[in-house]
Amino acid sequence: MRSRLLLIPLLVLLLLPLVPIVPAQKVVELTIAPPKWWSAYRYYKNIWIPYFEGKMAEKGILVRVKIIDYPAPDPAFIDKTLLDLKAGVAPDVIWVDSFYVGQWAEAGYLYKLTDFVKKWSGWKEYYEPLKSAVTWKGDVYAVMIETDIRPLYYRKDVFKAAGLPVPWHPKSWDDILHAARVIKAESKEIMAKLGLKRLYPIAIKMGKKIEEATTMQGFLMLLAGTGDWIYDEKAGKWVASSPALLDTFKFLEIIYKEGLAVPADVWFGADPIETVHSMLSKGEVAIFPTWQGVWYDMGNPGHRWYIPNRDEVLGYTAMPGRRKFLGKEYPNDPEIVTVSGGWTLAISWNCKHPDLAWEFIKTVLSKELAINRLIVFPGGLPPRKDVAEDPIYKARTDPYTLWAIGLLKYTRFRPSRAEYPDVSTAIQEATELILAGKSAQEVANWYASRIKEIAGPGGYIERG
Amino acid sequence: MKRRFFKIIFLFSLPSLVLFSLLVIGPVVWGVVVSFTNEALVGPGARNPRFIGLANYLKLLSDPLFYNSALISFLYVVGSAIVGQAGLGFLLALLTSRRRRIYSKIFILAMIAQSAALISWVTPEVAGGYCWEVYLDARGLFPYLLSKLGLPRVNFLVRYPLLSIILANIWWGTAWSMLLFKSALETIPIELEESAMVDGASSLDKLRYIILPLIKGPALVNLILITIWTYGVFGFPYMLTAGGPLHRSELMTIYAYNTAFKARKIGYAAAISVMMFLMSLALVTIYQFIGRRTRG
Repeated sequence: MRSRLLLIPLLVLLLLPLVPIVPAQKVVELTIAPPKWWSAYRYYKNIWIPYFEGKMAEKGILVRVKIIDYPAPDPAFIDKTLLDLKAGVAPDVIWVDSFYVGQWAEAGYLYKLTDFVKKWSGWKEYYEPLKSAVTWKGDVYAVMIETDIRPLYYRKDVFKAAGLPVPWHPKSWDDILHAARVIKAESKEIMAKLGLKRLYPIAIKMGKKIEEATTMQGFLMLLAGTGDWIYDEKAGKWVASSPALLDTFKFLEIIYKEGLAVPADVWFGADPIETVHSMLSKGEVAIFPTWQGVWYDMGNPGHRWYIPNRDEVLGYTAMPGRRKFLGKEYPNDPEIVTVSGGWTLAISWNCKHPDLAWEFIKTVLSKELAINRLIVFPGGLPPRKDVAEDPIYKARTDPYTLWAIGLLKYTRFRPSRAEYPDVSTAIQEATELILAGKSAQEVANWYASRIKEIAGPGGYIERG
Repeated sequence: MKRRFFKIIFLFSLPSLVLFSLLVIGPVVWGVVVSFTNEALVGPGARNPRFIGLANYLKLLSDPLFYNSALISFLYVVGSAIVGQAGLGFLLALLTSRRRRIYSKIFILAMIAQSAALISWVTPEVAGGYCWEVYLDARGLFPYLLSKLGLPRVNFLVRYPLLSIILANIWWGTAWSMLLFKSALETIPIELEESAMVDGASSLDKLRYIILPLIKGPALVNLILITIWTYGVFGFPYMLTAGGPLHRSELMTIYAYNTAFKARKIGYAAAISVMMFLMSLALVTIYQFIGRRTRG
């Protein structure tokens, strides 16, 4: 009996080292799904994650950020994010293209960030249009990582050969049409002079095949020039018909009826984006509004669109407003227009640690990291004023990007509304009708009926 | 004894029954159930879908794009499966049948045609789709050859999208019909044809009164199978035209996919799929009816 009594403390002593004196701190796992095919992915992986984990460790919170690899490119990535959100298994922090914010917020997929941003000093630094782009029904659901603009590119060599002024600063839609008509009239001589096999005066993105690019980089770039928009913020309704919409369709009709634009087949054919940008890089397209990054691509020796003498042959200018169209003056139209977009960070509804996920967003989008990222991976535009105005950032940024930042004050964003993706598809289908030879009026009528269907009774207005 | 025997049969088939229920019957039943809901990936009810009765089906009845896709699918099945694959497959089977005199005359040509059909049949869907895309595209080989003949160089996928996907599907699936018809032809006793020849029957007479009646059974099986398969084809035509331009080659499969993953309306897409299933079933029933009547 005594020996048994002795055995108990001995056993306790033996087991003592197995019991930790201080209980081990729990490591919290935060999942994120950055787009793997972006060049900035390396930055997210190698800078954002260690930086955030370090910052949290300083606060005594052990966090492990885990990357979930999603498929590429954009459409598959968005589908996968959406399906995971629907199934309630999405990563904690997700990358959302800004034009989906309203629709996904309406579906209840995004965690409301309004209370978080109210307490965050960084929020007031964001440009107002960028704030509204991530706001739905008065609440904030995402924070922009970076933004962009759309310039109007033109081939200086073609313009010179056509006898048009270089640098070119069109002041109205008629100026654009005039330049395109001159190039068409002189096309044989220009092709012979520059050794081109083909030459199309203008390209405006059209059709359903290239999806959102048609809406944002083609149609809306024109519509913004009328001062009107697809959604009336004051009335809170979609614009089913308006003289501005009709004029936009007319512009597209004219460039196709007069044979000024790249053939309709291009927009239905294999990889239209690749085809038309490749044509621009070869000088086969003279005028082309497209995304801001094209300037960098065409100056990158490793890129397929590389132009060795880019600065000599490729020009960029701001897209003018309508101002004068078919001889009629519109003095109240904007002088300069552009359209912006950008990807955002949001918290999924199924996130178990929203506070921590917000800490992640707040930390990685801080001024310091934003400046560092934009210098290491240039291309995007800063969504924050304090970053754009920072002397270090300005000193390390190329003149083109600084020029692009200057256009942000003119920019417009797509409406952050749940119906927007459906409206965007209607716009793409409307441009296909133009390509099929329908008149602007017919297309405008079709568009109006489609918008009425999408917006439902009381959800749209008709002007003029 | 009998009861024990059935028990053993049941036990042996249990694993396949479970797998079949989980992987085939389950999704089909689920698809039908979803077609009666407003299940969607986006929209206010995305997280809480509800039962909406026949609303999706009633909407289909007034949806012009649904009728368009049904017509396109019908033309696609008739053009590529019934006329194309079965017709061409039968012709190839006749030409490459060693028992026919014509075989010795066109031996090399027949072998090339047979090999080409087989190669296209074993080509993976994506590889085949890509080949046809670059073949018919404005910069492709086919428009180039046409331009050499003085014809305009057009993008076939844009100008003739339905014809393009029909031709591509004929190319892809003819070998199946050819092999099936070939094996059916081998079963016809040679004496029958020989005695018909002695009686003065022409080649056409032999085809009409001997060959066709004797291969009716396999032909019916072939038509049923290729009809079901062709109605369900998605990847190949999607790679070529994705249903465009302007819905001109939008098969029901593509319309269902676009509705589910572009418009994000899962319930409505499920209703389209159920309708597709019913239409395919109707065609198969018609075949069976015709088969029984001719047998009778």
